[in-house]
Amino acid sequence: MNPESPAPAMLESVGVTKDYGTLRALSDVDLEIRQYEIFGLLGPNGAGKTTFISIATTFLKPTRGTLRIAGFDVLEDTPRVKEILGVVPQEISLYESLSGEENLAFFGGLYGLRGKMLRDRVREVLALLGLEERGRDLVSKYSGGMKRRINIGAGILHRPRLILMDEPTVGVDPQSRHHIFSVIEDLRTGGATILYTTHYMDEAERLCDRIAIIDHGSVIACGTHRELVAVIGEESVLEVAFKGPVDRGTMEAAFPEADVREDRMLVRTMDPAAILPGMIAGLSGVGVDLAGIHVLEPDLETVFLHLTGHRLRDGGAES
Amino acid sequence: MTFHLIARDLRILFKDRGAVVLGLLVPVVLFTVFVLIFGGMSSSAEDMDPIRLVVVDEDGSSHSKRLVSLLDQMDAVRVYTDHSVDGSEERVPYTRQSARDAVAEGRISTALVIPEGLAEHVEENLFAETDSIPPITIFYDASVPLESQVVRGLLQQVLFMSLSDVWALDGIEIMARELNLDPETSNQMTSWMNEVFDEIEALQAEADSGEATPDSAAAGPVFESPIPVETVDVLGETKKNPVAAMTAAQVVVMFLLFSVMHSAGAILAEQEAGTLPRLLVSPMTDWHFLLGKVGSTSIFGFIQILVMFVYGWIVFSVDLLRDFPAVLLMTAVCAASATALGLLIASLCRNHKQIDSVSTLVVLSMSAVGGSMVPRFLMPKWMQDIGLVSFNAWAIDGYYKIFWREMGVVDILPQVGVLLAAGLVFFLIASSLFRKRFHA
Repeated sequence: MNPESPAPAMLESVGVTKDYGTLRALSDVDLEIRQYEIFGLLGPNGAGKTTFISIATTFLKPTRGTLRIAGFDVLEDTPRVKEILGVVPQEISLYESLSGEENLAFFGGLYGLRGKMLRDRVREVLALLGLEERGRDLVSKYSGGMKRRINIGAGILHRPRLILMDEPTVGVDPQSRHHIFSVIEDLRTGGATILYTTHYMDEAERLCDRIAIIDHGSVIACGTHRELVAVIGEESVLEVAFKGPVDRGTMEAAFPEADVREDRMLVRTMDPAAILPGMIAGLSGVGVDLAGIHVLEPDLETVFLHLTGHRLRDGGAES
Repeated sequence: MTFHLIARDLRILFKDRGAVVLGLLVPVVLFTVFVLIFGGMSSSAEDMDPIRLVVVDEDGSSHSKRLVSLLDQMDAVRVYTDHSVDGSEERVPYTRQSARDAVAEGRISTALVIPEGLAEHVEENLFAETDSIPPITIFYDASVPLESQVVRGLLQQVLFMSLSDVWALDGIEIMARELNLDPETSNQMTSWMNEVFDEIEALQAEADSGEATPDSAAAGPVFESPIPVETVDVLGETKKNPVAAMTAAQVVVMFLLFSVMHSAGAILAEQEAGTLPRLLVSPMTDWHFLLGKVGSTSIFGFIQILVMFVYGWIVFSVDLLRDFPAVLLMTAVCAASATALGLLIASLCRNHKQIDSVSTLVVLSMSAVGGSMVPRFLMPKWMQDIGLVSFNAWAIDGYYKIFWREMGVVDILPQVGVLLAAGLVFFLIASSLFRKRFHA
């Protein structure tokens, strides 16, 4: 293979759409995830991340569009696709009445691992997860963070070519979260390809080679962190939040450089401190009640805000 | 605070409309089923189907023929004197042995044999001890005890009311001939005897007043016939504990259903634990998953039944080892079929409350109509027919054949076939529902 050519696609999604009755959960999602990369799917809760993962895992059928894993269609070649994948679901999906070791052995067995190889992999994964000492304890005795780690272990034990991780750090303490990051970085070093969904901007920034931003079922931007931030340049964003809806016409007339939304106003600037006094004076002049003013440095949060008009944590439709 | 809690609980309860409807429906349906069954049991003899009675007339005398004819005229019985051989149209008369075999094989519950020379012995030994008269034999199946009691009662009626007068009058004729009585004396004796019989008949009618229920027939007439009647328990006579052999089948089958229904929630538990989606995105297919659930539940059900039978064998002398392969086959099929039914219920229900309601309804209804609570022979015919749609009826029939009728693997194949077919249908429907539910 030519070292200059891009790695082959491990996941290709073309026009993937999913409807639940009249609700459109995913809309024409086009994505390509290359081999050996960690690809982040960043979006608020309900943006459609889990729906996309569910289609990629073959659990859900798309209403329209095609999705291929390592060249195999998820609908046509389901058994082949399942062998390639390792899935780490958002929910803890373990048997509480079995030990961590027994859980890993069971899920490894589903992928054909047997005997010594299975035992070795279980030991290896427990070491990777930092749970060698607790492997024989029942999962019901584990802390939330330990369960999360075993939950990841069950998805990677068989060394899948593509790992789908659906918000694997939800609800964990900072220490466990840090440990999970280490595990994912180890997997990257080991050459894994990972699709990682999250609504935490810092996770996407830290872990992912490329990121797709998804909102209301649609991918609204995709690229490396640098490429995405470049969308808004090196300017900061001054976010002025209002206590209630404002008259957009009045506001746009008073602040022609601002991006005025229903309950907030965004102003891109190289020097927020310089324009702030004049802006506050202007706002008093039009008689609006301020809820707060925030200065956002260029990052994914700023990009998301710039592209969608709302913050990641604001939430969206149900996935 | 308490009111607040009550309001919250009721709000949660009524959000699950399915569970509410089932919770209200189950008692009503069960009430109906039990009323129909127990109401049917206490109905009058007119409502009951006639008893199928095989009659073997070894005597062939005019008296025995009249006895058969009188039995045949009774509403409570339907008399069969011949049968087809190997399904051909040719019919051959029942013999003592073939009648006994018919009872042993469960084709009929009661057979009556009029012995050769009965009329001759009665005529010759009219005033002798009854020990010298060959007895009428009733072969019966003790698993259907009521029928033999009814037949015995009816036989006594027929013998005493319809034949004794003939034999008594015949006796007067013999006496007049042997003692050279003049015709006038002989006629007076005959006339007096007829009056006696009229009085006896009136007394009998008074005793039988009311409805001719099986119980009154079973109690027999006021006066016993001088002709001896022997009853032969064709199947129970060789068993150490016949009651245990019959009860084992009834109890085991109902218990199996309860056990399996309890584990029907296993799929739901898998869903609640979040492990189901993970399993379904692994190389495991829906069929693997469902067969795995059927397998594990069936194996445990199989072990439970065997433990119960071994206990019955040790403590109650249930003949477990007579044909152990048949026991194993029947138990394996019952466990698998019941599990498939549990799987179907699990696929239909959305939560544990619904599973509890539906499984209670299904298990108790099927156990009631299928013979686990009340033997099916005690039910009205139409209810017995309905019972055939239940798992219990076929399973109990299979175990009856093994433990009671001492039959083998070949004989239980019809029951095995029906249960397997039903299990397969349950499984296919369950897998279809499962696919629709979990792969939207």
